[in-house]
Amino acid sequence: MRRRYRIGVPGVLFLVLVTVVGVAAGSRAGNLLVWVFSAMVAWILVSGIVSGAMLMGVRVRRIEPGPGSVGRPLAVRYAVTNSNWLWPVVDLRIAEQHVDPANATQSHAWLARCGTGQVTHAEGVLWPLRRGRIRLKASVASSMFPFGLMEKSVITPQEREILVHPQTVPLRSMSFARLVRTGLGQGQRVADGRGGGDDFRGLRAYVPGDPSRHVAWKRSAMLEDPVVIERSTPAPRRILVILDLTLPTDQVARLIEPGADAREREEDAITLCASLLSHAEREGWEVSLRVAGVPPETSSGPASSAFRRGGWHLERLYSVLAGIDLDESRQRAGPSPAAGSNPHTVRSPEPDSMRGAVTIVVHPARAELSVGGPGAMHLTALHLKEMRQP
Amino acid sequence: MNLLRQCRVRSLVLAALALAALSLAERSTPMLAGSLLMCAASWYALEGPRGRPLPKWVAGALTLVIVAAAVFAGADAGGLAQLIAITGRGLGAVLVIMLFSRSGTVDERSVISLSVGVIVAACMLSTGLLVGVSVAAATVAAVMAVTSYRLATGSERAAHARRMPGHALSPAPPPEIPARGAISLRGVSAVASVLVLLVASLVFLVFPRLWRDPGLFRRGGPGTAGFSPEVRLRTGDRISTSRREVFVVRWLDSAGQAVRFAGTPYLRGAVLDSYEPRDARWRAGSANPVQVTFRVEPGTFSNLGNPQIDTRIDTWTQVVEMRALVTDAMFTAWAPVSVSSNAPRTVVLEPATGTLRDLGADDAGRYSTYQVKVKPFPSAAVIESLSWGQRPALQPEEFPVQAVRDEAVRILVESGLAADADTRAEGDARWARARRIAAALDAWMQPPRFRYTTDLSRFVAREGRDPIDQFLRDYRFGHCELYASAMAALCRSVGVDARVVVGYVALEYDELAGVYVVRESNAHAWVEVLTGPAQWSMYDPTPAADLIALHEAGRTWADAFRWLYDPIDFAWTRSVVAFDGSRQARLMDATARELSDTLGGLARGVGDWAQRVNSAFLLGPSGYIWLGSLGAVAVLGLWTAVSVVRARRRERELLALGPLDAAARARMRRDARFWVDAVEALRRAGLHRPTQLTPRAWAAVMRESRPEVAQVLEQVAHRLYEIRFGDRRPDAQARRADVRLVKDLIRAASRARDG
Repeated sequence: MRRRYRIGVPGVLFLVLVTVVGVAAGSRAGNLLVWVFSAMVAWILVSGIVSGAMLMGVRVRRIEPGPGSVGRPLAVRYAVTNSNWLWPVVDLRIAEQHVDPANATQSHAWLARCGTGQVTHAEGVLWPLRRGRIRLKASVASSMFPFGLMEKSVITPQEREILVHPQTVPLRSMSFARLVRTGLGQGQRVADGRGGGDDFRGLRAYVPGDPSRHVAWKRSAMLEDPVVIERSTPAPRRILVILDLTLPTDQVARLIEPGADAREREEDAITLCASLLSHAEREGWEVSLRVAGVPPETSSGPASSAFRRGGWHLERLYSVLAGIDLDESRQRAGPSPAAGSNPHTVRSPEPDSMRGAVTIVVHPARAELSVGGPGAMHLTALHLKEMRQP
Repeated sequence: MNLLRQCRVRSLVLAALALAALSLAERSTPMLAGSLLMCAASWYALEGPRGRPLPKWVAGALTLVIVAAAVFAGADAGGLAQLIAITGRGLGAVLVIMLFSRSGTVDERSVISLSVGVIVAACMLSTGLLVGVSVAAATVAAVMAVTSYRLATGSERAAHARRMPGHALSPAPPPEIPARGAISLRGVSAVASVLVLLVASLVFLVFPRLWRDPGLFRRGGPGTAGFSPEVRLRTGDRISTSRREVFVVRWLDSAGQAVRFAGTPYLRGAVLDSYEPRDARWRAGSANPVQVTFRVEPGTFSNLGNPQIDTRIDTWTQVVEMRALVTDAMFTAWAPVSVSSNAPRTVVLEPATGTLRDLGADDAGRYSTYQVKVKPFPSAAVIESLSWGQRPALQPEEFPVQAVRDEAVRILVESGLAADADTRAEGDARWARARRIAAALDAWMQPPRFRYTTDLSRFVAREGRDPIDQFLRDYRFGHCELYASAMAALCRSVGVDARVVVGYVALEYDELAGVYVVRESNAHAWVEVLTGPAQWSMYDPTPAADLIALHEAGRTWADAFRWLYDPIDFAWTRSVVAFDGSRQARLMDATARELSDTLGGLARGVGDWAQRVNSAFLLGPSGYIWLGSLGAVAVLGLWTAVSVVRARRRERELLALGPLDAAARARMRRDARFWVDAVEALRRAGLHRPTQLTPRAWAAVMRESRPEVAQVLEQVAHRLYEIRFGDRRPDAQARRADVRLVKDLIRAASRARDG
């Protein structure tokens, strides 16, 4: 924990004013001006003493924040402990030290008051601006109370990396519907298990207690033994989103129109992937993600390749996208791997696991049909503009 | 009340106090009433049912107009004091506009800054009691306003920082403010105010006061109250019309009975016999450097004559009780023959002028009462005795302004005294001529030829023209200083020695109390003309009727309450306004003496106590060594106790002993002590434990930077978890192993540091 004192511009101006008043008071036989000068000096001294004493017993602990998303506020909370028995903490500002402004805006938490011996929580809002990792090194608690002449700071080293998920933009429902209708199988499938769905699974002998409306009367008449119709379990439709990063950025730059930023195009592709996953999950699809061309150690494990629903699974997929380091070397697509063995190098999905799933491949620049296999839909990053809601 | 509204209220109070201070410094009741009314109106305009601020462009335009007007007025200012007054008024007007146009915290900052400016201007204009009270109140109000402003800006900035970047108008979640925050913050502001007042008082007491004279500013010396020991004709100051009581004078006859003086008492304060045409200033000349010093004791009169003057006959006693004026000048009627006071003091007599000055009292305060025995009609012997051998020069200095000399000759011709223009008269003829000329000039300057006024706003000083010349030939209106200066100048121009005397004229006699009440507006200047070898005759060319009219015109209903106000005012003037270097030195001496006495008494008390103990236990001379040893042991014990308490607190924190009962705590302190040693050792090696990390997380973080230390630390942390949370109870062997582990950790840390 380090402490720092700094005189700001108001403090310097005030010092100049104090000097002028001091000269006037010294050259004029009027004690009232001396009183004004004394009060000004007292302001400086009290400002240093009060706020210095105020921060003596302050400890700031960052409550570890969860992952954030680009364009969404990320609340950073702090537990401020004031172990000082004499002074409350007033007008305390807490910010993060050395946050790259290209990655996120500065988080300013503010605390009006923390009484003696109390623990008070303060919340700042950090706006992530870029997907990836934000490194928080230290929290700086500062105060200019009571007079704003001198800023006193307490720096508490607290290193922490925050994962920032890619931005998800709302997509047009019609665009998404058209997209999945044109896919092979439209993501529908029949589940093996018995359940209360609409699909016919088979017949079985009547067991007392079966509802009479399940009895297949014609078949029972033919067999002269009552049989009932079994229905299959309702199965959500599945969608597999494949992000094609097999081409290095410099090659992407050669494929896109002159003047366009290849790295931005790759980020757009990632945003489109995240948006597709978000939209599909919201519409009740089971989603899965594969990233082609990026070494698996740069992102999370193969769990991302499973088809699942729910916010937790979506978070995992977002984390995969957030962890992609576009500066790493790329892998060209190789022979078709076994299902689930490596979610990062995909030539074509395995038929068993991908049966009935809609496959959408997102490319940064140009569609590479070898990725995703037959029947896959191919989108480029430019489709993001067309598909997003206005 | 939210923070911004609280800030608004407090800054409005500050602004009102600042404007009140300026109005009181300017002594303008309409200005005071108007400014307070405007403050109230601004609050209604902003916070009323249809409240809205003045548009910014209107406020800007009005400010520009005020600045332009102030610049134009400042260009014609007659002196620095007037310039300060114009600046203060300009700042005050801008402040009022700002009160009507404020809408955010930035405007509150402007209001506070302008208020400070107005307060500084007020302090430079006056040192009055009411101004002082306003400034002291404004000091507290400023602390309150600034603390509120800090909180309001903090809240606003926090709200702004929570907005989406690039969307300034997006809704922002409100920052968290404790439910009882505003109430508790008031206490914080109050504590800050008290601290500021305390520290400011200390700085006020020790501030070096090096001034000897009014310095840069003419008016505003310590408690000048209209009296100044010099006359400046170029400053264009308006003569004070204040009704403040400066002092009261009681006349006692030889039997000690209060009587009324025959005629109007002129109380001489200073004699100005040197004129400097360059800056049109009358001042006390240095031609008569002889001064006689008297030691005055209470209850006894010190005779001022040499030889001693008989004070038994034709002598009145003048008792002066000071009320608001603090000065070294002693005001006496002509001619003072002996002096006494209510406190031991040193008095200086200037024989050439017959004036008395006080060199200071022995106590910490200035005098409040002194008595002077006076002979209003002194004989030649008395004058000779008072002069201590000093005689006026036979030939006076020629007045240095040619235009005035020419005018003097013209006036003599006009008055039918053309024959007296010849300056070669000697002996009695010379003194008779002086009396004729003085009387003629006195008569010539009466109305309707000349008009008395205290307002010199139309008396425009011209480059290359002397103000006395302008007064005589161009304007022919002015106040007593111009009248006296003109007459003294005319006399000198025709070879008659004359000098300007400044002091007070006592016009108001209180029949019930039997005293003359001398007010600030009674400050006056007149002329003394040399009409004998050592005889100075008094002439007052200022029309007496106008003086009385001016005095009567100033009567108000407030005069009835002056008995209540004036003692406070005098106490203020004596204690605060006149707190100069000498009083400061005396106060420091007294404080040092008191401190020395206290510490000496304490040391003596300890010595006595030691002696009593020593004698009670019959320890003999070596007993002091025993007592000293006991004292050292007591100090050592105290230090040890503090160290133990601190160590206990540290253990409780590091081992999280809070939730445990006493037995478990004691066991943890014994079994898991190694963790405290480990943390301390790493701290000494420069590896501070982040408070937010658990021991294992700390080891994990350290793995990247100090892998060899982290490896051992993980083992230590594991052992801690086993004992603290796993209910593992180590035996003696295990405890020794833990100690060895910590030693390994220290070695690893040392290697890491050295490597």
